[in-house]
Amino acid sequence: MSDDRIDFSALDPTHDEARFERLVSAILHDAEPELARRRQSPSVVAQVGQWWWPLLAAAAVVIMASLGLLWRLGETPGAGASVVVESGIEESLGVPTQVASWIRSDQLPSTSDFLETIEVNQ
Amino acid sequence: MHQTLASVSDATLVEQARSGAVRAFEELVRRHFRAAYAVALALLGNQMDAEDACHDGFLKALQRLEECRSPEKFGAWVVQIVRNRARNYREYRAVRSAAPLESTAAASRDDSARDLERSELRQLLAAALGELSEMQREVVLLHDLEGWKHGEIAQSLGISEVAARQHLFVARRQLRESLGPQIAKEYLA
Repeated sequence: MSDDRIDFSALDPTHDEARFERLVSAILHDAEPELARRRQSPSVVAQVGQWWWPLLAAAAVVIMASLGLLWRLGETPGAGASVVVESGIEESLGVPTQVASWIRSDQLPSTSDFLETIEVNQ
Repeated sequence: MHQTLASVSDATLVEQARSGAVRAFEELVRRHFRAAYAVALALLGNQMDAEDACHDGFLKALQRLEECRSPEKFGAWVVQIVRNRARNYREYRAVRSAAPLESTAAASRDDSARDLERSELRQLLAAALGELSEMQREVVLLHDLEGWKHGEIAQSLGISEVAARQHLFVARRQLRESLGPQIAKEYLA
């Protein structure tokens, strides 16, 4: 069947070279804005990069804010913990609570208070 | 310029064109223009309109290059775009009095006798093609002008390979009858 091929070269758009070049040039001319846009648009890596830095900055802000919040929240429980720890040590050493409070306040108890405390804890 | 890209695959050219490479896109145009033109001519029967459809089709293809899922089959893809453009032309440009191929060919004045002879042949071929069905025109032009294989034509037109062969056989026979034995012998060997 291929031997019966009809010669359509008269209709071949590439046969007239000058005309064909004009056709190609016209297409390329009109395609230039789109091609230029494609050249300017960044690659996938660059696009990710463009998003990466703002994302990193946002993450840093969140971390800073979180640390500040944790620090502020940690202030009160920290002090409480210190008392708890101290009272825990006193208790483990067998020191009466009243005696411990005298020690912390640097105030000397009266003789009657001291004796009363001793009697209560015996 | 484009000769250096002749051995580069369509897939690579499409990838480069997606990044805005002018030469890659130019090579794609040069490589597939004839097939696109064959389809447009089969549908529009007019050289100028066929060229316009190809022009718009390639620009459309560039804009939609990301939608080309199989870049190695860019040719079939762009031909489909041009086919759709040509159909739109035919539907929406009905008001325009499309100059037939014969008059367009006559308008391009060729001084030499050889070119005149070529213009006459172009007119005869266009007239003979006009007597075929749209499907027959597309099949015979894609096969005999562009050199597509039956499988490629069948896939492009959504028909079986056997049907493509039948269309080609009938189209050729009809063309030879239309052109007459004298012309067929003189011009078409």
